[in-house]
Amino acid sequence: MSAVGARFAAALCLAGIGFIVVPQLIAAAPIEAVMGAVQKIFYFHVPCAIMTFLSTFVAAGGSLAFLFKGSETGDRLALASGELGVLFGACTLVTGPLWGRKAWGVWWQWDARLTSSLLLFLILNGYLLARKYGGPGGRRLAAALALFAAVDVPLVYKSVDIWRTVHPQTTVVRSLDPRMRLPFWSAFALMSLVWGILLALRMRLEHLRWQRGELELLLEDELENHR
Amino acid sequence: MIRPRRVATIVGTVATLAGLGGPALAQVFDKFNESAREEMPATPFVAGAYAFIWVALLAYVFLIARGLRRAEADVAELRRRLDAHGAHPPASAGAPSATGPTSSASPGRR
Repeated sequence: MSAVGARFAAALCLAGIGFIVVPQLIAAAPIEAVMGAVQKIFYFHVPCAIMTFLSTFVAAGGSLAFLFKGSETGDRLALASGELGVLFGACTLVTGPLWGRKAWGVWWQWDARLTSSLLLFLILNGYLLARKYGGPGGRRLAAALALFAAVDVPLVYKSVDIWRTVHPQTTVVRSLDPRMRLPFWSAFALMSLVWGILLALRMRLEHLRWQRGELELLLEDELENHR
Repeated sequence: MIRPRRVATIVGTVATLAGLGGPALAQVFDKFNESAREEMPATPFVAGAYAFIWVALLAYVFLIARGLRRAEADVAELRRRLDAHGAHPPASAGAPSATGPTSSASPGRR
């Protein structure tokens, strides 16, 4: 097994252990006084939101490399990250309302945090749609959308501090009860690991698709030469 | 002078408006009703949230794994056909290139 393969296998093993250990840590964490047991959604809701932000920034970085340097690797990185942004964004937008229904009494509020998060999710979806159906020039259009998505991230993050919202503020993680910190940071580490594994797999897939395209062209040329 | 017909119209209008507005207000207040909130168990919400995350991640892993299997099989088949034609694909076929076409650039290939 190559060094890369060994590292990948080790990451998979670690993620497997995480999927067993982290839920137990969360179950053992103390029940929050005001919201009760539903607050346990927090342990995966927040890491999912952070992974959405990370995906968006990586997609924007890759898009910048593609737009200004013509980097195909940057483009592939942007596509892989964009997809992960949609995946983790969907997890955030589904788990949030489930928590909100119990904690606030409503599934959804059109407040600044929720609305800007939905906007980010829609921009990331727009990125993927522009790539898939944008035709010639679609990749450049999508890259520009990824930059817009990155601009939205600080707005999403600071929205709870700037405007009055029902959503908890950014200080909630810093002011966490010490007994809640281990489950939270364990869940965060697990999500980061899963994000890294998925990114590597998705990049590999896009690389193979590119390779297939190259080989198809070579074969067409070869068949033309034989005629 | 009080006209009974006008009074009846006003009373009727107020009653209609109250009838329309009442349920709407009740719906709004009901969402923040403390007693209703306390009665809701947390387990279905927590279980639903965790289940969604795991299902979404597993579905994504499944889709990527399927795509990888297909792409690897296609690449192997193309290489075999090129070898059969006596053409040797350069080792760089598959290496990142700034000029080479990509599957992303040609949606028809995806």
